[in-house]
Amino acid sequence: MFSSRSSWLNRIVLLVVLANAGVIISTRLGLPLAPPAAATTLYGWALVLGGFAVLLGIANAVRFHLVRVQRGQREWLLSLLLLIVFALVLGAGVSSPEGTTGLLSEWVFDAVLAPGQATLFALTGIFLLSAAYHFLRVDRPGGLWILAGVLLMLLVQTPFLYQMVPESVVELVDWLLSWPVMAAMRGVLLGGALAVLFISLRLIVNSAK
Amino acid sequence: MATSECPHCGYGNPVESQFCVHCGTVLAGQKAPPASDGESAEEAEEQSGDEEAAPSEPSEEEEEQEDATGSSGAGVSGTRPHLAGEEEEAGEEAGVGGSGSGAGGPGPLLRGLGGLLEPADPLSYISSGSGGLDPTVDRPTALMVELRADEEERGHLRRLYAENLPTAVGASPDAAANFVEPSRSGNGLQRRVWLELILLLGMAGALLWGGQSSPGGAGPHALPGLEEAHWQIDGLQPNSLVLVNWAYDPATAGEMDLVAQPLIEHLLQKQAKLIVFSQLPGGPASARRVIARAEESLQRPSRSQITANLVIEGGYLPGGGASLPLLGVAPARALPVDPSWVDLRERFSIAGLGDAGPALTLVIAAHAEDVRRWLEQVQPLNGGTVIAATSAVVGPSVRPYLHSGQLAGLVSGWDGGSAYGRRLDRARGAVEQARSLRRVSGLNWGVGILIVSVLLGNAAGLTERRRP
Repeated sequence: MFSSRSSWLNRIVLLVVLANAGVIISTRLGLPLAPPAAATTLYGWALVLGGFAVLLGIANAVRFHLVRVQRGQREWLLSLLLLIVFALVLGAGVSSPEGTTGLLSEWVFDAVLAPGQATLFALTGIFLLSAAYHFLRVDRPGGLWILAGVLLMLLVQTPFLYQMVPESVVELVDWLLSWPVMAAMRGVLLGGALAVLFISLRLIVNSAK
Repeated sequence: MATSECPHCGYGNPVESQFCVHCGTVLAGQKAPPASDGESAEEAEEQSGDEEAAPSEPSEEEEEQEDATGSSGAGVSGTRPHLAGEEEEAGEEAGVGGSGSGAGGPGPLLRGLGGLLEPADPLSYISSGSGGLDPTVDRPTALMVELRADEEERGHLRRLYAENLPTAVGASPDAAANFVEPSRSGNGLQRRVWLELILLLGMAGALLWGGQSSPGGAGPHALPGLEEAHWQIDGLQPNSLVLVNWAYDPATAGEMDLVAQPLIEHLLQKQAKLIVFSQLPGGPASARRVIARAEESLQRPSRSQITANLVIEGGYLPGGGASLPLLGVAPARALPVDPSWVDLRERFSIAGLGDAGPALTLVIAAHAEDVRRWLEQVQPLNGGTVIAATSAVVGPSVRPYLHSGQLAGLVSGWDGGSAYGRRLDRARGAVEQARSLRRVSGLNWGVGILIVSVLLGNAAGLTERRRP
């Protein structure tokens, strides 16, 4: 895929990236390999790279949907709609001197983005309801424990139920959260961190299969 | 040892493997390549590999099978359901591109209005007859194969979850074996119409009576961490710099606004200077609205003046976790402060954050990862005090940080926000009360529907099991 020349170039670029990452990470671990100002500058570059990544992502999405519309592939009409909306929102932001706080941009946010995002997220409630109906049952493996936990949390945290829940149930939930659940969460955090550490070590020494 | 090739990555796994050890693809239920008389398993594998490398002309039997399944790609998609979409896309591109600029190669970026003039007919996907654009690509059958593959995968997952998982503590060992998957249409209480009826009733009830009832009472339960959060904000001096990481957008605003607003009100009451930024594109606009509502509820005389003096909008900070540490060492370089919101004097004070750090950092997050990132990547750099306002589901995940002292305070969920609001020493306006009531009623109805559905589902399960 690469010529011998580009392969060397790739390796050099990779080495430079690795060195920069090492400098940045070392400052976080308290082992300054470079002056703080240099590390801060590298952080700034990372931020600029993040901005460019966003722009590249947008350009890639636009190109992808342009090609889709041009070739008339499946659901090309939705792609066309996406491109039109993208152009309108971009135009609204760029044309307004206030930028994203301009009247048109604010209207787009209030009338389109916010309700749209909220609606899409609300759909997860429907899936949650369906899953709870079908699978949150006592006759499934471990179902009794899961059901008991769910009902306890719902009883304590639901607005219209907190008035009728006895104090002993609230204390029970407090105890559950403070001891067994906390122990499990700490185990998950510790296990996750150890897993990342060992996978990283395996990748570094190139023994990952 | 007989091995079975992973359909995804081609790695040779032992035949009895449930998952591919290389890429994790589910292998359960797949057979090893059949070895004919006199042929070893290795030869069969080799043969299948050759077929993949250079597909030969299909035999008559294969053609008959293809006709029966309806597509030439059915066999491949059947064994590789996760590749069905990619194969279909590739075939689609090759088929359409082949008419213009040659098969396989990408066409020009703009090649007339072909796509617009010959639009795809959505009906052709669901009808089994003619109507497709390109006769060389049988689109309806490809979609059917994809649907069938999805159905197979779902069935496979059901079997896995019902049979192959180890028996949980406290569960009867034969519970999984006795479990019967409900039929598609359902019987008795299993019928989906019950679920839809509950949903409809719930939504109608929320619309009709949602804004009429008052919660009243002593208020909801407050979990540990709330008192500490209140104490931290209450101890702020006027004009203290507070960094606010706004890590939620309108998708989760239904719950998060109820948690965030009381804390913002408290900060504005204490005349703290808020530097608000977000790593979500929709975050800054969400923050503007909640801050405006908080100012309204405080009944300040001049909103714009207060906002200009007390709130500095840091805007959208791209880069995800990679850009966060810069906030710990040089916030002035990290925050893209909007010049129309802040003058040079304020900009200078932001630069001062690099030396002294903020008096307090407030992370308002709908997901635990945002709180963790801050505590692990930024807080060690500036050593600042951090409190978090989170959704209810995040509470247990970040509570260990509260116990370890990395988090100085935690307010989570609707109950946390409500309990915090009651601590603020002020009376709420009528409009604000009505808005809060609507949201709380929405929560009431939502969770009520959930509880009823769970109970009904269990009743349905029990009745179905008793039925012969």
